[in-house]
Amino acid sequence: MSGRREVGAILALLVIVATTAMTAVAQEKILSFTVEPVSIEVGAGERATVTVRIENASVREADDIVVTWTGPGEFVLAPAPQEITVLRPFNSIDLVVSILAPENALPGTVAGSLEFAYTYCIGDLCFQLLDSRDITVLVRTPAGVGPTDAAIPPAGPVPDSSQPAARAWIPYAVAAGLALFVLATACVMRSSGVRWPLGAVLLLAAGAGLAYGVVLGQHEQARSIAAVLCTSCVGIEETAARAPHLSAEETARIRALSEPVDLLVFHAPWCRSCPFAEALVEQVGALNARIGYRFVDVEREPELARRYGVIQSGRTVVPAIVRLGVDHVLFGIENLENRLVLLLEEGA
Amino acid sequence: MKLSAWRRVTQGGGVLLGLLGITGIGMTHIVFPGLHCYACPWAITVCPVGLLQNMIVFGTFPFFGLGAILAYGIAAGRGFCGWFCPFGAINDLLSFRRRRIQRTAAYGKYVVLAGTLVAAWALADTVFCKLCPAASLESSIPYLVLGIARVNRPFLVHMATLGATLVGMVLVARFWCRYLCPMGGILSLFNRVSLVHLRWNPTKCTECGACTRVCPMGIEPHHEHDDHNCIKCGACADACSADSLTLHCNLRRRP
Repeated sequence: MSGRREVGAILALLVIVATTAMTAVAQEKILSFTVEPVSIEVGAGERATVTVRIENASVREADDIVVTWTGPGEFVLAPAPQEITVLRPFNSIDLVVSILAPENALPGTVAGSLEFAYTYCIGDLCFQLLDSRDITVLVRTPAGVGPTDAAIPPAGPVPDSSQPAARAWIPYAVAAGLALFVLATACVMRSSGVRWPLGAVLLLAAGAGLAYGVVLGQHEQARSIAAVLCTSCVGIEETAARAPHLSAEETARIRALSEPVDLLVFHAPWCRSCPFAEALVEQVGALNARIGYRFVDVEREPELARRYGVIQSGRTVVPAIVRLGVDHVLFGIENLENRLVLLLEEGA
Repeated sequence: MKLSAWRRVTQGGGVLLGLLGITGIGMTHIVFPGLHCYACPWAITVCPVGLLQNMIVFGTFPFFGLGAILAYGIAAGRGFCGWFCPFGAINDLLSFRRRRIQRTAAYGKYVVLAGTLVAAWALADTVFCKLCPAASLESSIPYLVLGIARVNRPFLVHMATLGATLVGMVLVARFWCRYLCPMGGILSLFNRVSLVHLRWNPTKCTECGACTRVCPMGIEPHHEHDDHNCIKCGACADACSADSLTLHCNLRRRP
């Protein structure tokens, strides 16, 4: 009876894992798009422009943002496609997009949309996401006006948005692996006691897992994950879901600094608080040319972390900001704007 | 010497390994065979649940972590919960009420396990770590003392989960291990095939029920010696005057 209940539990687990793994494939959208105006008026062969504000309020870097037009008729973006290579966390950009109506556009209203494709990566795993915003184009009655720009470049190749990102198969592989693992475990739980064939298979699987993990360098990855304490990862503080904000008074105090200051910003690739600290230091650096800074990946330069006291009781704590010449370190991001200004003013 | 006395020694060893970093030894590659926060300032081992979550967040199949867990599972299954895990030892210290209640809730640990892995996938974050009572005790409090943590919302959430778990432990023996521990959930999958196992001899058993009364996990050892909740602590073997329950380590079970 007990065995049956366990198998039932395993099957329930399998269902949960399979269902949620599928939903997990739909990753979060990290960019927001605002199109202004959403309704434009244009004559046949003419172009009209809209402004697209792209905001990245996440801690991830968005890459390869491509804007394309989708809709009836032969409307195109000119030039097309519009592309932005990188949009860093807590940044935004305004993109002016020209929509060119075809020569043979008939008067009336055309409902189209701007399609946005972009990617972002978490460690080795990259996702391609799609988004769109509707635009209404009112085509005026022809007035004998030709194209405004004879030298409009031809429309570029429209990226196939149905193409998944290069590593999009990973979620499916992991889900399949988990399902196999659970099924295999269910089989194991049906048995009672270790017998040689089963014991040998399990030992082989354990040994193979460990060995292949070592070949892939996962043992080093495991050690470095554990050796570096990301303050938001274990709940020492919250992940910043906002861009850093300096008050007018703090901005004035930073601008008033007259002595050169050098900062080191220690971060780790998986740390979710680190982009906030990096964005803040970038902001501060832009306010006063005397403030220099450098971002240090603690995994690549552990010696530097040790030298500047970013290691506390054997743990490298990130994010951490060090001002050269000052012996204390700012850890974490809580109230960081205020703490950073005080650090910059120290000794001034 | 009774098994319970030996167990105190090995549990002490688990605590010692968990805090060995106090000697200055840095982080090692060893995956801990229990629930022990790697963020603890004195930890030298990697928390298996934290590792699995991080590998999932990175989109990497955790060959190394699962290989280690599989090895531990084959060796002793949930024996590590009973004999080695420091958080299990704390559960033991508060095991006053060894009751047989809420058996179905014991499947909660599989829900926590699935939720932990799925949340890591869906939210690309180590969500379980932010709620883990072991992390509350072994990281949040030490880092507050070290001046790195502050009394903020995440800290209070940690204290709330720790407080609730401690209250649960007082009300029901091994509350965390019985109902919620994801690591216990993984290890329990191997309970039936692990080298260390509880053996029951029906010809000697008098059905006196002494084993059931002392079992901290609320099972009937003489009827459920293969149960996923058995932590192989040996309390039943100590209590059995007829010697019908014994802990064994071998490759083939006698009929």
